[in-house]
Amino acid sequence: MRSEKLIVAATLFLAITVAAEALQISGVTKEGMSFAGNLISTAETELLLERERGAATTQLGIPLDSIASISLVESAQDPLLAMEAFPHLLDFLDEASRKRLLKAVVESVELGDWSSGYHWTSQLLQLEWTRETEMLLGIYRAWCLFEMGLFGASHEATLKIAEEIDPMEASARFCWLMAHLAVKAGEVAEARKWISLPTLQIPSRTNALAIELQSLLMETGPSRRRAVP
Amino acid sequence: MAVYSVDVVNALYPRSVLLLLCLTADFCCMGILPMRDQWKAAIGALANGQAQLALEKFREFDHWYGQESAARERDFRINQLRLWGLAALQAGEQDEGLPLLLEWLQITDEEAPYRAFIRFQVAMAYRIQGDGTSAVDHWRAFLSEHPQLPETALVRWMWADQLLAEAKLGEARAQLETIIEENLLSKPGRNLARAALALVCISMGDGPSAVIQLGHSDGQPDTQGPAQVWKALLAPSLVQDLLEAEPELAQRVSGWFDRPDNLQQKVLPFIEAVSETAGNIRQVVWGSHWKAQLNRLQSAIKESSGSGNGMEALFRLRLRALLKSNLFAEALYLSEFLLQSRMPAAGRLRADCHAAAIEACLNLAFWDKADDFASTFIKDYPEDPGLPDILFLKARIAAERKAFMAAVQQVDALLNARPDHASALAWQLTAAGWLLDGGEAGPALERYEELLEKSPLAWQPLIHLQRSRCLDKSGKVVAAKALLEQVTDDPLASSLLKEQAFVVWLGITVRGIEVEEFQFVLNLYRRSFPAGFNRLMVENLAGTFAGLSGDPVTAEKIFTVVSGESHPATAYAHEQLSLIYRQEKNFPSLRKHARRWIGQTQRDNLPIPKVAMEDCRLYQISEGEPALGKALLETLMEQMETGQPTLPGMLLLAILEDQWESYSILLGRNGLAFASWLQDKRNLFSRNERWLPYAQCLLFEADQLESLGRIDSADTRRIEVIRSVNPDMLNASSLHTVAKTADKYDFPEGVPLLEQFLKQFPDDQLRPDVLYRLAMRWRHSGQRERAEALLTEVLTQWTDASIHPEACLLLATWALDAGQPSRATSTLKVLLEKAGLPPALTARAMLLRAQSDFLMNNPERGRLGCQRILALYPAFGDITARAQALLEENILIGDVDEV
Repeated sequence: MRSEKLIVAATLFLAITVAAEALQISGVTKEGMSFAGNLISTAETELLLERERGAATTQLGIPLDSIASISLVESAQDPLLAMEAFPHLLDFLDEASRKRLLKAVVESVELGDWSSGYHWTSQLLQLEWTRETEMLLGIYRAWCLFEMGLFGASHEATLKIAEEIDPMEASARFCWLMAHLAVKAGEVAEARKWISLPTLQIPSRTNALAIELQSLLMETGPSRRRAVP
Repeated sequence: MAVYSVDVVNALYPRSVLLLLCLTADFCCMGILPMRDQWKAAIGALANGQAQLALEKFREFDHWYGQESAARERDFRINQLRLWGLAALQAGEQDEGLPLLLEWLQITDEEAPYRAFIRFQVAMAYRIQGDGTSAVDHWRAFLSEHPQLPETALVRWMWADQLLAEAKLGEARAQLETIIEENLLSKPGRNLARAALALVCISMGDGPSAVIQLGHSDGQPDTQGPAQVWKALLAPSLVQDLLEAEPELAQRVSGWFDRPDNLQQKVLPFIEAVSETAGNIRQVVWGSHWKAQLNRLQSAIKESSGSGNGMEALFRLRLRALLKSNLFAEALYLSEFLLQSRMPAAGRLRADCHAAAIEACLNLAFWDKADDFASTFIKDYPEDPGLPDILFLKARIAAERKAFMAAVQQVDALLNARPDHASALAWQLTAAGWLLDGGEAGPALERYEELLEKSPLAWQPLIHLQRSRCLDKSGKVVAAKALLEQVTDDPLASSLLKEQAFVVWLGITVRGIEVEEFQFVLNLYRRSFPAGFNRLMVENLAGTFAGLSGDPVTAEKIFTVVSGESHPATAYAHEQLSLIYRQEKNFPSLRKHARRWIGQTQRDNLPIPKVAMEDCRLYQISEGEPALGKALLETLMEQMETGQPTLPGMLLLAILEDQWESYSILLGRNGLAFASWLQDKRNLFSRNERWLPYAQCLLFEADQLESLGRIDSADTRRIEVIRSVNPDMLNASSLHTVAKTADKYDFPEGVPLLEQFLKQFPDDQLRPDVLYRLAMRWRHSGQRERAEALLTEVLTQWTDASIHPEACLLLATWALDAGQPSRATSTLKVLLEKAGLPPALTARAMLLRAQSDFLMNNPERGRLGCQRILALYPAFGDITARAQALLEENILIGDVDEV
């Protein structure tokens, strides 16, 4: 039986071992001083940057409590991979960097990288977001849990979102999740309700996901029922 | 409105004119420029967009130099006319410009440069002047002179606009259709033309064509274009128009709805893009056209946002469309989601949502859920203006549960509280109908008589039809027929109502076997409604009547004709044909007919009829050879293997077993015993999770075991079906079997399975048996009203069911137990009037009626009943003993009374 904690631990281990490339950042201190360079490491109280000046390389230590904001420098580097080892820097990221990270997380989940997706959606949910983004992250996190086979945890996470979400504005992905969880629980009628929702909203959702959801109706075969006492 | 600009004139600047001017004399007097400079100034002003200045310069040029020989040369004059004319049009001086350009058109030939452009401008100028006739002349000339130009589409579009302004919708439609047909526009342009055509279709009341145009997409769907905005904008009015006549289409169109605030946002980028259009003459002309179209769209959006097409109205329409198109589950889901929603529109829709949810539940036979919705609303929103409608729906729930009296009482209470409600008369009419359905023909008739005086004239034919049904039920057949005749002649009656009157009238004459009258009414119907809505039903009645009159040849002919059609009424004709062949023991015809019937249902995608399969089996038993050919067998086996719920799988297995020797060869399993083949199949179905055929194999085995007296083994297999198969996947007969088994062993699944059967198969022939069983369950758990409602359904709706007499007796017994002898008497009346009632049942019914008679203070009939039991049914000792005891008890009471 897999547990949510076990999955998280395994994910972190994998992530940290592969985060080999240095992360290029720039930032501003609370006093307004700018800094930039390759992030080498972070300690509890400061971060260590490496800067190249001609042939020479210098190192710079910046106390964490003096930092106002940090920006990820645009590069071909995968921001998720690069940030994996520095989760405590997430709080300092400026809005553009956060958005970049969010985009990368969404893409990673949509590409089916469930364990990384779960880890990053959980990390990003610690930050402050707009209500819509928070919902999106919550849904994607529950989706990752579902795909990893943790149906109970996914169900719990989805129910929390369901309390807050207005069904008439629910995304097709949320409906997809609710329908699949209902199918897993053998609640065919509940599943049908969620399968229908995207087409009942105004405007009706007619994207590929909504169409895929319709096909779930065909696939919802019977589930084995409990034995007669 | 001028569509040319500085850029246009730049493009038109003629080199030849400059050359000509170089040759002319140069002089200046009274502020007038030399000839060449004057001309250059005019053209320069025109090129700089100073149309008024250009016009003045052209005028001065003509005044001072017009008679110069150089200016009178043909080539110069051609250019002068064109540029001066265009300057005049651009300055808004159509009266000055038009003669110049008309002269230009006259003196130039068809090949002249700019001819198409000038023709286009002339037509536009006429249109601006309000001279549509002249504009049309020039558009016509344009189309004939330049058929290859893409601007023909533009000309036709403007022509269509002109025709619309003159209210010539048909001609406008033809022009727009030609634009789409000629295919000279880009894809978004064509889609916009389709939207324009759809608008015309809507104005002509042709909603379905509008839907075709709006729903059309060439190749990839244009999901974001202005045509999509038109689609969303027109959808609400289209749904309104289509709701009654084409509900499925209306429902599909309701999928195009969009939020009103989205529409404005979607159209803005296109307006901005068109505003930036610049370039050559063509681009400007086209840009102006699209701009005009987008402005039209924008005004339509503004108009729509002020016309109440907000989210509230859209959701209300969508709910109605779902209900009208029989998508009850979806209507229920939408209502539930809207009731959970925090959208402001949702709050205002609570009464509509509750009403739609109740309506949906009624159609899905979710009685309890319907009741919950009604009760919640009544409790939570006692002041809501929608309350009376919900109260009426609550009465409808009772009526749908066959608790007609309770329903009538609720409507009466509602009418007392809201006598002036707009729907009061309609409610009264419905309540009278419920009384009639509940077997209270007399009181129903009284209500109809009362309504006759109060109702509008248009309702009277319907009330007469209902009165005739009451009279018929009360045994006043002659009066009933007279009223029906009156309805068939009534000019106020709709065709459908007249047809219904004919059907009821024919039904009465069939029942009375009145040959001449039947023929007379039938001929009258056939003459009046040769293609009537009820034509096939009437022909079925004619066939039935021929059969009852001992004329099977005519009956066969009629049923054969009806059975050839594609219509639900053909099932009855098929069943009757089967009956005729069975009675005649004409097995070859029976087999031929069965195969034709199966083929027809497969073609029409309908369930395979059980009777046809039984006929195949009968043929096999009688003739000793297989009834199914290889092709048909393969089709049926494929249906079984894919778990088609519409296939009577167990019958197919029985057919295979009967002639296994032959069928095993056809199936390529020669030499394998049927039992082994069946076991292989069962295991395969289990592995592949094909639960319906798996259940069918188990249930078939169970039946075989039961026929061998191995009841426990049979039930073990049935219980395995309950344990392993989701009941959602079972067909009617399989679900009935497992529900019966669960009921037999008092499993907790019993009630849910019986209820599920009622929900899933409201019209199945096994329904009365399930109703009876469930009624017994409710009665045992102390839910008397629910139990009675179920038995009342058997009593009123399933008079031909084998369980019907038992249901009547049980209902009468419960009525007596509840101290309601009059209800018991009316129930027993239905039973005792049944033809061919077995003596034991007759004796039991008479005993119960005698008990009722004594309780209702009718001792004479009670005594008579008891005496008849004693005289006619001495064989049924327990009944005669109870009749004797009842008689003695009541004679004693009678004697005491007399004393």
